[in-house]
Amino acid sequence: MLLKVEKAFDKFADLIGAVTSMAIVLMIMNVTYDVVMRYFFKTGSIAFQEMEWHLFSVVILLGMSYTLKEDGHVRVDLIYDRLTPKRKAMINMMGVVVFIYPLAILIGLASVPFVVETFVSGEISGDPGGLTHRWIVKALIPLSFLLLLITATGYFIKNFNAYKGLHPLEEHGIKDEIEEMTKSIDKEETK
Amino acid sequence: MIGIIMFFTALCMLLIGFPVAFTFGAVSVMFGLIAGIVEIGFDEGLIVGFVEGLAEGVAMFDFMPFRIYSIMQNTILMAIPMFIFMGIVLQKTGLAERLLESMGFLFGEIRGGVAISTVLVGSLLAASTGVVGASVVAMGVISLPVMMKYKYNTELATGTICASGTLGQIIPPSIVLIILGDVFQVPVGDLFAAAIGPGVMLIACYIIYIMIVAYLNPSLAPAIPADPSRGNKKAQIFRALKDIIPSLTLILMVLGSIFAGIATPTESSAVGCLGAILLSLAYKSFSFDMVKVAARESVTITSMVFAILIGATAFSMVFTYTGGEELVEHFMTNLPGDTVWAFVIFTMLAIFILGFFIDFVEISYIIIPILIPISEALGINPVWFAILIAMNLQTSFLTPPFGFSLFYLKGVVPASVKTIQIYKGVLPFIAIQIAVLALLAIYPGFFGVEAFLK
Repeated sequence: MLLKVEKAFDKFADLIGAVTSMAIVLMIMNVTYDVVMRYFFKTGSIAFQEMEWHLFSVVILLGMSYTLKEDGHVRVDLIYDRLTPKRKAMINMMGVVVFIYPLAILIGLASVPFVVETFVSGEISGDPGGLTHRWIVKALIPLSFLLLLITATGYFIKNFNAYKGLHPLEEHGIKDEIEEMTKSIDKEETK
Repeated sequence: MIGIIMFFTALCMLLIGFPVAFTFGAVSVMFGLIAGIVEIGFDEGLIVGFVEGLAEGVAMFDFMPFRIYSIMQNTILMAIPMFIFMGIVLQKTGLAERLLESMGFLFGEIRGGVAISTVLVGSLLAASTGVVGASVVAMGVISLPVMMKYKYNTELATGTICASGTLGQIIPPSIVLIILGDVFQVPVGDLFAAAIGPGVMLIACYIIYIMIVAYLNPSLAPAIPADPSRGNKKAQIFRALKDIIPSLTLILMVLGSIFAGIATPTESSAVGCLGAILLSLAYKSFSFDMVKVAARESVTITSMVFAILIGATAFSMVFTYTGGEELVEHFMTNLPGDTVWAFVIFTMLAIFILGFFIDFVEISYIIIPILIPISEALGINPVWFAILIAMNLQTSFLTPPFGFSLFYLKGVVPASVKTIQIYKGVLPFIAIQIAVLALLAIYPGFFGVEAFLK
């Protein structure tokens, strides 16, 4: 049962990963387009330039949750590395409850009035030709912390399952990364 | 005082091993609430004081959305995911492998030649891909066996690989320099330009060191016999150039446009991505899967940096609120000896020691903002100070036992190589780095940088 729940949370986080990956590719194309327009055609659109940081916001804000699922946030692994998987799972569960929840709830709630205010006043870009509906990009802030709460819960369940011994603790450690890289080098060699 | 206690509590909490970003953020929240309660006090009774104090603490975090919003609009940081993307795409074209293959033997027939070639390849990879882990792994898999086969001293071979693989930290375009540019509020282009001198100096010193060692004791790094199957020297050089030129042209264009002031680092990085994709098409390594991998990787690294930035923002807010900054300033400006030099030496030592335990991102966003007001008050040139810090942070990739590069190399060496040999091997290179750092500190003019603002 809990394993199924965990899978559902993982799928959700992967979806966030797909959206943010898309956003980064779009952002690169967006910036390249603006550069080409500016240097070769001496024109440019404010709206497109603002779109750059809108996409960037999607990447950094929503990506936070996906990165948690991928275990991509840096740790000080001085002690952590030497612990048993059970202890590690314990630390991760406590971290979610004691660290992530209060932080995400506090900042998430604080940002709601920030968005509402913008929505009510109908704030738009200060530059002529800029994007309208400024509240949408601002709404990414509470959304990101809501997503963080959700993925953190998934992360908690995953570690709980690992703690119960339902599956080994997934570690996206340096070892797998090295293995992957060596493999790709070997492939090159045999070509 | 609360700020100082918070700082040390946070450092201790980090040791638990939960991700740094959330640990720092949560500790700041906790201390923010405590500071609020202390501020209000209990004059009006225990419960009233507690409730109002809590409200005061919570109210502090109402500023967070504004801070986050300004980070979102920060176009300097936008360069980070794009340079990462570009680096991964270039890496996936098999650049490291090709360069090591073609350049690996170029100087092989002189003493220490393979090691010298490794340093040169490391420098080229540093400028193009900048991915430290991948560079170290590629060199560990390809160059190390060659050096071992020809009886190079193990310590020298592993040290060379770790040190050359780490050059990506200082040689532009480097993520460290972009982050420092953001923290110091100086143009990233200026930092890139200022980093070239010390970076080249470092490469030169590595090569000179290898040459000296090989000259004094030829058995440590013997010359390898000429192998006619690799073609004559001319053909070899031609092949090496063919492998170098496309990527080098790309990177020179990217950096050139930044230095010439034609484009911002963000714009250049986007065009660099386009160029990298075109190169990958030319090398037939392009696939949508590769784009996906590169995109995911740059999402995780960028949002990791950003999460730390949020944690650090919360931290600095509470730190400033509790007057921690004045305490630090008081301490730093009352160090014994000449104020400026005491400050520089103390901060360099502190960063060096912290570098053993925590990552450059945390140091850049949490420690350095505390130092900046003081360095400004002392009239220190932020560009000079930033490069000193970048050089210092680079060293932390090499310092045993937690150096980042060491971990990667440990993962790929054959069982016959002992960990202690890797540790011993990097020591001379760390010494070289410290020497270059000292040179930059004492004679900044030599590198064309001013130490002080006029």
